[in-house]
Amino acid sequence: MSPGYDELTCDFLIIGSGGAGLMAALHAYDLNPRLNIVVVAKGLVGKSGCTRLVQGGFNAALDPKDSVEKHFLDTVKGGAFLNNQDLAWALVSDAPEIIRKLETKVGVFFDRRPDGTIHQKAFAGQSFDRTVHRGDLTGIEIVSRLHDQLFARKITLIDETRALDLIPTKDGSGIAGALLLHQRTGAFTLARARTTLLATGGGPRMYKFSAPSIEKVGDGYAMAYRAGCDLVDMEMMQFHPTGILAGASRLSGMVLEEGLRGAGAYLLNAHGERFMQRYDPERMERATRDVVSRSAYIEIMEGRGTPAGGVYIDASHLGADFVAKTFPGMVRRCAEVGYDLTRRPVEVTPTAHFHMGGVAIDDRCRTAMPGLLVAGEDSGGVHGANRLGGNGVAESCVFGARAGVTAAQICSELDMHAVDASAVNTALDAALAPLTRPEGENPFAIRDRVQAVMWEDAGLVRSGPQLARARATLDELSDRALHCAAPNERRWNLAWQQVLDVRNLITVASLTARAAEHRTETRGSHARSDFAKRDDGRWLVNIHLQNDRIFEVPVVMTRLKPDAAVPA
Amino acid sequence: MSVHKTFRIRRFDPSNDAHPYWATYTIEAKPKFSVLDGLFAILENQDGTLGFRYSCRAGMCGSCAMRIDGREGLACRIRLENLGATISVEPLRSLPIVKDLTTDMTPFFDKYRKIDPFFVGDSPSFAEQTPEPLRVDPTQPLRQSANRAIDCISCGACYSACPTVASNPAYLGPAALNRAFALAADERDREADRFALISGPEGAYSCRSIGNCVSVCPAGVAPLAAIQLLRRGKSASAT
Repeated sequence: MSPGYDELTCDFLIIGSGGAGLMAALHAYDLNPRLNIVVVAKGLVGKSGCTRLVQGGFNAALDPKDSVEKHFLDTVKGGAFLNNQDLAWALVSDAPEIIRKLETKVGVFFDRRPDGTIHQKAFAGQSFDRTVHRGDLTGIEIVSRLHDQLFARKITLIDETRALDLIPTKDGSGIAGALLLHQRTGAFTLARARTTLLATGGGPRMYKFSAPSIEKVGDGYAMAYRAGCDLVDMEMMQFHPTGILAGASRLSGMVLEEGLRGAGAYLLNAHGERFMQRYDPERMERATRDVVSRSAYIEIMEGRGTPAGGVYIDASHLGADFVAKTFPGMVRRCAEVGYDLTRRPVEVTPTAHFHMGGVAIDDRCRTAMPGLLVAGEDSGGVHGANRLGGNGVAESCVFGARAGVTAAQICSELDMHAVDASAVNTALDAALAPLTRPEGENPFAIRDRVQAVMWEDAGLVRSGPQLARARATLDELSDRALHCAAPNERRWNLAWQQVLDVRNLITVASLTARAAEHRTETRGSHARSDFAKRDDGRWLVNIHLQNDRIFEVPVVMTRLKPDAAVPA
Repeated sequence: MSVHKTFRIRRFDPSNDAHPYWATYTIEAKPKFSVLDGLFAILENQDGTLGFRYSCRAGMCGSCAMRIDGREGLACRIRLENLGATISVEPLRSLPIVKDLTTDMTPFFDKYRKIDPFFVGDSPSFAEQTPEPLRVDPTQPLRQSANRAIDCISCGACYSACPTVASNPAYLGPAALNRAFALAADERDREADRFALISGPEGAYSCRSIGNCVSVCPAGVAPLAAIQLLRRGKSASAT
């Protein structure tokens, strides 16, 4: 028998407290202070999530010599023309204004040039040095200051509470809210809302080496998919080339930021060769992440890797003082696990970093599902087949703001809908089952297996047979995950939370592998050893997954075509 | 050769236990393991009921602050190889316990909120027009000291280590006062009255200059220095 749940009613329910969730809350509130806004975070509001982990910075065309058109061109070329161009345009055209807002309304400290204007640094794959930053730990500052702004407004914050599932309206016409689980107490709340925003972050944690925070397991994708949403580009998983190698510690896979390569750091194989010479002699280490990661992976696979199975990043020739001053966060992180970034090479591995795919949205963050908005990594289409460094936090903030504006506009038009009570009960039963089993599968062991399978068979370079094998293994793990056991107390039960995490992780991994198997070409972050060429004739399409269906939709080139040298 | 470490963990489930107690676990300490890795090894293979808080595992979110061998720190940044054969792990002090090593941060953030921790610009609402950013000289001394103060990750280590917080429940504590200083030193901030918020008996003048906040801060912030500058700023503005 299921325990009960209480109910909470609000206008705007925001699931996730990264850049997207917080920007949405602040914008919606300021545009309509009468709105009842609730922010739910899986960890502590302001701490959980990945905007905080942004190191490098935020791309925005601020300099008079730069332009949004150039930023757009870089973004779409970087995305191998798979981007939804309307979304990419929204990103680049809003980014400068969002930086000004963060500076003048949120009070973010961005690094300055000697003349007092905002400093911008070099990142890979860009025609201009346009990355706004605060040292090499930009995200901490952005999210801390956004969090501070919440205290100036009447917005309800709910810590350490996860959404289990989106709940449909009784008539099935859209989304009526979400079922929440308060992890500290184990109590459930049915949150009913006129509009719900998914902003939980993506699914790179499905890989053995990954960058995101531990609790971020693609909950948003999994919930959206179960609710019948249309997910796009799920095969597009970005691997960052320089995740630190720190043995079996969970630190392994954490990124050493791209500004190092932007500033001129070398990537070396075990023989001390700058291997990018072989793969992209023109751009070398400043090639886009997809190219650099894959090159490092090939070096490792062909036996030119380091003893720990990585490659080296070497910044020593830049001068110890320069490195220490410019990258203090990276230097400290390295020192703690025995590396001296200022003087010696550091062992790094490609690491799963960012999921370009996600829920299909329009440029106001609306989905096809009435009552559901999606912003940030949970959405797909902005970045196409590969995201540029510095466009991630830009996406979270730009589209979070847009979602907040949309919510302020539509909340007054939307009714509060009756919920589908059977959906609530189904979600409750599924969540509670592991607590009733005295013995069963260990969810942590299943997670390890998912991560190993995805790394080996659905990782940086994939093939049809590997992906088929990955899918079969994931099906088997999905069955096993139904038999997980967790200690029976509901209060602050981390093993139980892991059972719920691993289910979502498997759902997202299966979608990723399925889309990857379908795309029989190599494009951006998606590399097939059995289809090693990009094929614009066949594959300028986005792969969609919805209700167990897979289908293709041609990319609409509203602004730029692959053969055009300049924006249309 | 494998290295083993023994964890003595202060455990307490307020709903079930009359008193906190010590539980002991031994794990294989793999190279470069942090205290957090050790806690996961216990949770995943030995005792699924252990409670602790985590998120980024890289020293950026401040979720895993706890007392390790009697001293506050981030579990993700302290490596087992730098500790002895037996490691004691306890929750932060001066905060209620949710379970085991997980504390309720509500009192910490309630006090943080009291200093109006939010920046107030010329045009604070997102519904209003956005002004052009000011030019800010990066070498200006106030900007530089504020720049150091903003590195706080609100982990609560200083709050737990502060004897004044422990003895005076109303005291705002090092992190909140440090934030007040960062805003007071920000030439762009327009809130005039922040000094009034920190000059009462719960504010900057209750600090006894012991400096634990500085020595435990994992982010290299010096709240004590910020508090001293706040006091000086207050007297300067009074004259």
